Amino acid sequence: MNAWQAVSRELRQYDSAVLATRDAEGYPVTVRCVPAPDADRAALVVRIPDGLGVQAGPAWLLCHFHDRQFWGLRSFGSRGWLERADGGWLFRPTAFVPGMGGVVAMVRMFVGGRRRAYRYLAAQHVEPPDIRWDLINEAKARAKEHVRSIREHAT
Amino acid sequence: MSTNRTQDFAAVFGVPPAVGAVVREFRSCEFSTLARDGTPVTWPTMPFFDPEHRRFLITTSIGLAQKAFNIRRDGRVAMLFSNPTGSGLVSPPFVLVQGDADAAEGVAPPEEFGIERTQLLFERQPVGITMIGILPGPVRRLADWYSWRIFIHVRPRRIRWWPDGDLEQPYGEVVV
Repeated sequence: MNAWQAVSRELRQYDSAVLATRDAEGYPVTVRCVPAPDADRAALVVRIPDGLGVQAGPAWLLCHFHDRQFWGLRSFGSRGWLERADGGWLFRPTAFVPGMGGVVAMVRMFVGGRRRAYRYLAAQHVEPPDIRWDLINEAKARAKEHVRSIREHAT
Repeated sequence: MSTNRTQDFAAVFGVPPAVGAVVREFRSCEFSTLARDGTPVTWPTMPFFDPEHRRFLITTSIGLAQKAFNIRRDGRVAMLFSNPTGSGLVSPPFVLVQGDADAAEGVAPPEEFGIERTQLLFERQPVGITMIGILPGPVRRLADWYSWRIFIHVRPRRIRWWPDGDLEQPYGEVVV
């Protein structure tokens, strides 16, 4: 499966996407959009508001989801190329980048993350700090109390 | 380091209150850094505005440090607030903040993140409380790397917003 096929398949699970490109000063500029797949060109037609100084060139597409409790996270990204076409913009995916969502992604993140973390510590010549469970437990207690008081006021 | 929930992004930068509400209430923003080849790379993250220093704090685990590596090479970044899920806001504006970031070397001392920010995180992601509670000790230790964080600070440079999240409308803008 090539990048276009992977992106167009995953895109169906989201109602919109975020397109990132660069402006004339080289800063990232991002807009939410509803990409329209164009199978003939293996690309996505995207609408970008005027006046942002968007430049054709390397670009990124992100789709992500979380629920109201900031959970159920899922996402994917795509590297690609943004170009002018028919007076509008066309995003051509060149690589599919898996993100969050599902057991496989979770295992990949934890196994890879742990390995990279120890590599980082070695490169920086630092010891890992102790986990401050006292602070975490106090924050947990405060959060529970805060949520409880909001519920009581609501009822 | 402490957060002050009553002091608003809007008051600090002179933008409309609705823009301040977005920064305060949204659960995530889409955070863009620049890869070595110049491609913007964007992933969702949870930002904390620090009114005292007029900047955002974003943290990332040292095991997921690519955005910090990108910033150490090129500090130009963008934050888009465009997903209102969980915020409780109705028809909020889209807010785009472009800015300059730095990512400190080493590992941030955990106490500098602060109890108030940790509390806010638990309030917004209550599953986190449950997860910490149910994970057995040895498994929890395998996840210790996730708590070793790098601090990223973003100083806003240009703020744009689209009223009602309508990109067909003219946007408002403040250049800092």
